[in-house]
Amino acid sequence: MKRIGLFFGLFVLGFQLFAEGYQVNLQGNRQTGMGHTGAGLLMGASSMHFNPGALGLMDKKYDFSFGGSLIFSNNTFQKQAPSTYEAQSDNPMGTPFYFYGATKISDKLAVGLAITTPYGNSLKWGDDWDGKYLIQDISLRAIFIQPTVSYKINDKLGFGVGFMAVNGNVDLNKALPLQDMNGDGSTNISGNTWAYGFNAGLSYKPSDKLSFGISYRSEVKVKLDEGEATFNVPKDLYDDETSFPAKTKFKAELPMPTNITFGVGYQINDKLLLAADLQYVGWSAYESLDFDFENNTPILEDSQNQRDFENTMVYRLGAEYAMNEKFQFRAGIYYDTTPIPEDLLTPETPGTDKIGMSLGCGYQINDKLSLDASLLYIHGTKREDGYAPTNFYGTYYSNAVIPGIGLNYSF
Amino acid sequence: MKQYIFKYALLLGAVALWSCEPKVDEFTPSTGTADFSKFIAIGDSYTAGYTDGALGRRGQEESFSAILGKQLMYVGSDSYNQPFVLSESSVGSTQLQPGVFNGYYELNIVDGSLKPQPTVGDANIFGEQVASAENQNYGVPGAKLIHLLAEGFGNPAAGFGNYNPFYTRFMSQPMASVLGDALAAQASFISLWAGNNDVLAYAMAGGEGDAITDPAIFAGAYSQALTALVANGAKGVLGNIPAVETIPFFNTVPYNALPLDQATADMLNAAYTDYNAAADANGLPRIEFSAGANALVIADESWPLMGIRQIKADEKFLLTLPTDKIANEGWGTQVPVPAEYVLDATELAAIATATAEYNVTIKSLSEQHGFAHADLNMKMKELSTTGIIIDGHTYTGAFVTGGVFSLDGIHATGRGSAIIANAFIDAINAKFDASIPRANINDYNMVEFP
Repeated sequence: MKRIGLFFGLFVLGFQLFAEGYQVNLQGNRQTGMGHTGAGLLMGASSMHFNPGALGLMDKKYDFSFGGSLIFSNNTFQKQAPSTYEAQSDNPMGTPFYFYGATKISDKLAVGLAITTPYGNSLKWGDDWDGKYLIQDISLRAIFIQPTVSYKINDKLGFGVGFMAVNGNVDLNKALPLQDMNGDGSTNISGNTWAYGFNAGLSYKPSDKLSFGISYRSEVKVKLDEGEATFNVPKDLYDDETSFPAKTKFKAELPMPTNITFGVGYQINDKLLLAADLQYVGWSAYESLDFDFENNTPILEDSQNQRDFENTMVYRLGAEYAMNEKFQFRAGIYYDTTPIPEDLLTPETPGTDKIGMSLGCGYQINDKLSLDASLLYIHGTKREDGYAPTNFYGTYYSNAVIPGIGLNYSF
Repeated sequence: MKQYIFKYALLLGAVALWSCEPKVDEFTPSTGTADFSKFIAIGDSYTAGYTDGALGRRGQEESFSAILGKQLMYVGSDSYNQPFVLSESSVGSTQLQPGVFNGYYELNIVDGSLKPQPTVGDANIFGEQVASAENQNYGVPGAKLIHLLAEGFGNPAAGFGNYNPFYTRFMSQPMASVLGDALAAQASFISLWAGNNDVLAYAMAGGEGDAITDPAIFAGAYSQALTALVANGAKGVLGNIPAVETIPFFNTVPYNALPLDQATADMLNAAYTDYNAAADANGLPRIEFSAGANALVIADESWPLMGIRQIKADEKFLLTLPTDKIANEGWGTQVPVPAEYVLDATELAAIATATAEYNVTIKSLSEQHGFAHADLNMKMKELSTTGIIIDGHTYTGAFVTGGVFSLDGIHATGRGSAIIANAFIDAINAKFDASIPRANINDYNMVEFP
């Protein structure tokens, strides 16, 4: 009896996506206010994230920028009809941040350091919600540390590259369908690791009014070799040979996909700047999420979880209007398509096509210091779908409100 | 000044926005063409809420009929009253000692492995008087379809063993019948899932006791009951009878539950030399053993050679087979396994034939009376073969671990009951164009491990 042959769709791990999902780009409050455009703009030190080619064209000697945002996100799940079941997530507030520091070493050469959090999110459905065997809560955070160098080829053209060292951290909980007097068992999966990649960009400013940029960010494969899985199951079901070990190491790999962004900026007049970005995200790199457990038993087998994501596009428009010398008003909008195909939508990653609407303002405190504030509202289109391998279907609704603030200091 | 206005606008906007949850298009239950204002359930132990080998409040609250009754409250029903067990304990139908009945089975470690064991039940439950005109659950553990019409079915005056003490608890008077009491409830909607015991009682006795109800008598009694129930215009749903092969009680102990090494196999083969010589002479199969898993030797009085033979792969041992006697007392080798623990091919065929005929009756009566028809036979077959994935977990018909069957190997866990209730709901929705919300499977319990 102790050798029980259970099948668990055990390890389905996901994360809220950075492009689509609440893990939106929030890597500069000026850009966020403008629909997170920026690949085609010259935005000083924060260009290291948006387009490192633009850094070489910066006009100040030193430029520092830091800030952060607060993500208030809501997810609602409504079970497939006929059902009255609804669940609301209780997501912890997300706190992405950024820091940029850059300096011009010579007229031609600029160097800088960027610390950003373009991935990372928290989603909490609760311990006892209906999808508990798929996910209870998940927290993922990736910190990108990126030394960057940029070269001004001529007054109109800049080229830059950055090296990205990524620290990724994941922690998730899900219930196991084995019950004792305290209810369901559970498992916790966690890990922390480093991974590496690079970005590069070309910035071209043919006239005072017009600027273009193209930027590339490489895929970063986050390989977890020493993840830890712990199991909380009824006491007589622990057995390293035949059942559940109390804990075991595992290996898993998660791609952070390639991004290619083309951007354009147009200064209509002294007061009005328009920007547009077209962002391509190579999500097809995410085919499957596989867990390789060090200690396999008949009921703890390695698990393969189909993902088969599709490449996506994000379309962004933004504008900045200078009310006067000290104050700018910004607005933007974007449309972000989901990479998740039909029948592969999980509650860990309840992705859907999203519309983002932003407002922002900038205030020049003195000739060196300026303040940017932004407010982004994301509306996820309602999506009626589910994950076929675990037969969990319903309608997902989502939205998020993200206020942010940042300071720039340059001289 | 302007910038202050903007700042305020931003702040107010932010406060307004992050307090707002996404707007949801609500699901709207609907009754369709049925009237669910007064629901009653009629049937046997499944309807009553028997689980883990006994009747108690926990099982009553998680029976398929209770779950169905709860879901029907979304479409016009306003209650589901049951003859709840008043005791904290539970009681089953097995006498552990004279006068002492079992209670719920629980999993315990026995000789290093997990085994279901009976607790001691509370026989006072049989004496509880919980009859009520408001009752909506007319499920009686152990009742066959033909019993539902029997007057005095719960009358203790008939003497121990000749009446059903689970019905005694809530019968309206000693000479009442279950059907009569149910009719008095004047239901607008009825679930009737009865007939399981018309084959199960025989099957659980290994085909050595009780009898399969004659399908013609079954059809007559079913038709009579249903005609009475629809007399005042009630509608409802009928459940059919799962094949016994889908139930873990009959498919958990394998036919070849006898592991042997070569030396023991040789020794046993030598002991059956005479038998095998006679078998060869008469053109009958030999009794043979080899290293590995072996078919057990069983008693079969219809067998022409000494009334013993090896069990065939498609024959069944019952869950109650004391498997420790295989190792300790030579059961299946020196001592043939008694026939009461075996369903042989003839018995299985008789059960299958009767079940199929009952199901034809149930299907045709459901059509005749405009009732919905819940195909539990199909559902159980699916569970016992491919399994069913529901909300992140795969449910199967496996004993203990499958999630559906409780520790008695026959009755459902809370989750099994919810799966059954949803099968009824799907059938009702389809037949009456209704929209009754399904139960949430994950809200209910499975087998509890220690």
